[in-house]
Amino acid sequence: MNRHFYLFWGYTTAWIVFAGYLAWLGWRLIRLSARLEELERRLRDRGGAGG
Amino acid sequence: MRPRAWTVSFAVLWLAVAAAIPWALWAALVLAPEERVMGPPQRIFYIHVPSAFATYLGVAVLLAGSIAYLWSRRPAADALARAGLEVGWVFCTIVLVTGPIWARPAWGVWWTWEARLTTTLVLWLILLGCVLVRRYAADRDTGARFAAVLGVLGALDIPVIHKAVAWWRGQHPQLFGPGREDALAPPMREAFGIASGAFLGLAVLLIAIRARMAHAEVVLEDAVRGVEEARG
Repeated sequence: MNRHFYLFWGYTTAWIVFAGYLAWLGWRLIRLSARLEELERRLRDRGGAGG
Repeated sequence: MRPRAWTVSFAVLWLAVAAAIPWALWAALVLAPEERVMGPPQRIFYIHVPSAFATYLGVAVLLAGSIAYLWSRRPAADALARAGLEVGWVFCTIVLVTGPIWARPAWGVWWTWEARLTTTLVLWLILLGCVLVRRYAADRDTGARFAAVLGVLGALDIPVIHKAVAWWRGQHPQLFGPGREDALAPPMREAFGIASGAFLGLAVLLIAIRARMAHAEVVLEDAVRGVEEARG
């Protein structure tokens, strides 16, 4: 088999794994932001009920 | 660290890594000369070994965070352990993926139960165990405690991986250590140094980001619960 095949797939698979982790980190960040909005909403509701 | 100091350090590290990664790719694919016997697949070495270094760094952070958490039960220590675990596991996956792709043209097989390969696979499985324990534990503290103990066990595997070839006379190449100063030609050594620095910088950056995120997740979760309880 062409030896460049191994070089190509060695680098490509490494970056696929890495990109997968970055995508997962991005998803966690989106979830974190959603939780923050939820907290803000609850605090606002609480303030409204108290006032 | 004060928020502003953290933001500035983070921005500097981010810029340094953003410049270092393309530089490392250029060094690995252009600067380094082609190895005479193996040819192009030898260049996998410039991402395989730096990924192993980044794994070691991740596991060292996992060990420090795990011991600190078992000692103090502070969420910040657990966040650090979690960040080291994830980053170490990702780089260990890269090591285990790129290794067989190098081994096929070099040894004629994708995988062999050689000492260093086997002990690295054991590390990957232990780290996977830590991830699963955290995911499926009954509560956060239980998950963090079990993962911390497993993390310490995983860290004990690092010296075994390092010495495996010598102890069990494995066939994995040994390019570093006494008497092997000339194993790599100077431009190869230079490319390897650049790639190692870039990968270690990337690992530090990812650990910093993930530790901040993991800590924020815990603080936020507790805050939401606190508001719930206050409302009755």
